Amino acid sequence: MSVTACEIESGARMDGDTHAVVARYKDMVYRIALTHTRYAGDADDVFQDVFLAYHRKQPELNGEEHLKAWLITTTVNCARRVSMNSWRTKVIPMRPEDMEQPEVFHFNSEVQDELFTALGKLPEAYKTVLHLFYFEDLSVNMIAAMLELEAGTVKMRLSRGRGLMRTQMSEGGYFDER
Amino acid sequence: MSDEIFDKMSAQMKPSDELLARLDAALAAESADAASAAAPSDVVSGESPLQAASGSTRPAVSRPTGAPKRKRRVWLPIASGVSALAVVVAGSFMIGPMLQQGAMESSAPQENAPAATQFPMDSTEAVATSAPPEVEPVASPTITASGPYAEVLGKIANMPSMSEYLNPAYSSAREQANTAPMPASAPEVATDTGVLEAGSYTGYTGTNTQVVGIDEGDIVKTDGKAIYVASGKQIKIVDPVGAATQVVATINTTDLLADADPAAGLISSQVLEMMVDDGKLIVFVTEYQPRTVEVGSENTTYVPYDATQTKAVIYDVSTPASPKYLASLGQSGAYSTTRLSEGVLYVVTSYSIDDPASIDPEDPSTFVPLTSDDDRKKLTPIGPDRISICPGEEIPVYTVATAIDVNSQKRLGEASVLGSPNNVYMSDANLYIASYRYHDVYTGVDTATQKEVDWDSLPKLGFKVENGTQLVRIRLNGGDLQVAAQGLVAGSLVDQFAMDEYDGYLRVATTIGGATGDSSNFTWKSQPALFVLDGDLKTVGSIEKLVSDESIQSVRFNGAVGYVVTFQQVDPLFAINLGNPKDPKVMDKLKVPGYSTYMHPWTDGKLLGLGYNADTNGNVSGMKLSMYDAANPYDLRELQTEKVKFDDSEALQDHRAVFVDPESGIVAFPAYSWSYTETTTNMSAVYLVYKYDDEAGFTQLGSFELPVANLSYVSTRAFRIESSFYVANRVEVDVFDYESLAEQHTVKLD
Repeated sequence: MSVTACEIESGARMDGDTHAVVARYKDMVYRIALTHTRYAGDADDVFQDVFLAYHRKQPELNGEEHLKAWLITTTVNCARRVSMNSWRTKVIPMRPEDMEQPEVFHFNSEVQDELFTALGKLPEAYKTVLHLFYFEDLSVNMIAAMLELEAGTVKMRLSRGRGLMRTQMSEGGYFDER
Repeated sequence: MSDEIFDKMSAQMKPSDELLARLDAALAAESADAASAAAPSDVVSGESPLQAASGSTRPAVSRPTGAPKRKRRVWLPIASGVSALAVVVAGSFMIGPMLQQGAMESSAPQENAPAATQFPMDSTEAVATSAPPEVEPVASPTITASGPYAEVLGKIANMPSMSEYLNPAYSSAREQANTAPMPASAPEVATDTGVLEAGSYTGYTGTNTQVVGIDEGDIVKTDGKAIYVASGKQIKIVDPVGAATQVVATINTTDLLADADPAAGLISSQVLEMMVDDGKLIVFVTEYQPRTVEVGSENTTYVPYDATQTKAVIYDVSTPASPKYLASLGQSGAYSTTRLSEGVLYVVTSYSIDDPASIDPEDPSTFVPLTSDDDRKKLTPIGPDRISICPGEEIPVYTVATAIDVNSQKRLGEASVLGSPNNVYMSDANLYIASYRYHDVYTGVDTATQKEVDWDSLPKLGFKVENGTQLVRIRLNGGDLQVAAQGLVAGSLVDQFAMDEYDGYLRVATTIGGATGDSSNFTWKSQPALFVLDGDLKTVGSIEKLVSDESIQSVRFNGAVGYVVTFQQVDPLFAINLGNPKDPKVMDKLKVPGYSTYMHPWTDGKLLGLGYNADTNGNVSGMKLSMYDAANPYDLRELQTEKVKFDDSEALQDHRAVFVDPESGIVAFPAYSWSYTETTTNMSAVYLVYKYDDEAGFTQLGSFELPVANLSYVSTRAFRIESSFYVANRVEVDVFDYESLAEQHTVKLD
């Protein structure tokens, strides 16, 4: 993995204490978990697992960008495990009584819900790339470096993912570039 | 609309304070453990740092200062949208001379094609079915990995690096005498579930299934004598006697399952689905076990519970008011689906090796699926001759299929495939497993895993194909399951209805994705297609392009006729002639706004469609019911269409949620809508009953409020039993008179 200096601040390693890492990245990890699981309960589990894993492993990460990449890939992998099969047959939440009805995360507006639902239905490869690009504001090169993909592949997945979103959005409406 | 929407959404996606507190507590516990074990340097104490930090703003690192500003993306209204209903006809009276008999009868395959001769069989298959186990029974369950399981172990240990398909090397006989298949004998009693009796309102309607005579597991079942409702870890048994309907018994699965053994740390799921047959109720529950070994790879992480096995728990319900436990048969993996045919229950699970660190090459039970009889006392690895390898699977996940004789509660056989059961279809003679495959046509560089898929065997379509479906045929053989063939088709399946076996051939409708051009000029393609495969799952006939740049929304085969709905902007319905398997032909195509997600053969050659409504510009708004005249598949017509003013329905994703009674002209289903204000979201759910009449079209007869819990719709099913109509979910059972739809009674279940 290589990340160039112009793409991210390469400042000195920030505090690696778990609580400090949680404070810096809790929103990012939660967003990725939610996008990749769609259910609030599953996202909660992923969120907890990711930071517990970090806490237990205390991975040797050389710099903030590597820490961030580790968290992103770990979250995506963990979410994949949770949603590999239907959630209710795959993983039991901390509290089994929560299993009954998965609580779909809801946004403030219908359009936001729809966008999120369409995003959630994409194959994971597209979902991850679209999420990182639109919600985490990462550049194509950054995404490529983090996911260990070619930049061309990331561009393709962005383009293809937007195309898939377009067909899924029931209200109609699609991404375009100006 | 600008990308401001992403910022708005982003701001809402935050971990709750409760979640942060939970993590905080977990971290504190970890630290406490570490402290008591060794170094007490990192003990958390005092005020929660997470709580204190929870109000902080988004981390500043998320937008690197040096990064170039990205372009603004805007939302534009989509141009237009209509879909197509295509009738793929595989022979009908229109092409009568090509057909032997009863082409339009969906029950015809049973008579036409006995299992043994359904497909051409190779010699190994014939041997496997006739020969008893050749190897001496081995008393110990321990099988060395250098032995018969070496290949599957090699696959799993090195996932994803599988290269072979379908157990050519696994020719040894089954090693476990105690799991040797029972003699395959046809059960004496067949279920009448799903069969509507003639005359007025006698008998009952069962679950709406894909194949007549093959029942499917569900959350609510009936055998006409009782209604069984899954409600958490309980099953409520309801005596359906109109206005006097009441709960007569409750089965508590926790009494029997792993919860009784807290020492093992096992927990069991809720009742996932049930099946009922001849006085026996079969309840499916998945057990989970806490992971004891941490995963080795840095990029994987801790998941607390893994699905270990799914149990079929069988109860005697010949007297519904006093159910009696009979037996419990388990198999590895999470519940996928079940079928029941001729008194034999087929259970399909998906078993992933979640914890590679737990694999012991000397102990097959750590890396191959197991079966168990009566709790966990006797765990038996599935024999190597019953395990096949499906190329191109990315993760170590098995499909596990077993057959159980319901009357004797004995396992008849089992088979397993290293590959995911993405879609499952069962005919009278075969169980088909469809597993999705993908490769990246943009870079053109396949991973080792993707290279295992024989992409070169796919038809040349003038563009690079990116998706495929690996199909596996498991021969039922009266329960002595045997993997019989595998094959690859281009494209992916919309659901189980995309597969259908008829007259010895499997028909598969797919949407092929791909692209033309190179990385500098790239155009995506989406192309619905139809393939006819023989018993070896080799393609013998195809329509490689039904239409350009659309995707399949629903499929229904009815004997020799196939119907396909595609959608991009208009909804075309295609009629396809499959009378000659080697030369399927599109007979007609009808374009209408919106698209059907479910189709059901009606009476008099009509076809019912349930789906989404759209204007001619393709803007989807709500749902619709349509009736097509498909009596002459060369001249499709839309007879009636009715807007259903609700946003969505479980029935659009799950055929079991549809109640269809063509003889009475009734179609009924649940539906729900959302309403929004700036700060709140509300949901309303109803059960809708429509009657179709050639003259009047669709008439809404009833709209009954359904419970909504935590802004969630509660899965609901309906049955007619004699002259009453029962609408059931885990919260309540509502009883109506089937004729007048007057409410007779409500029974609360929780």
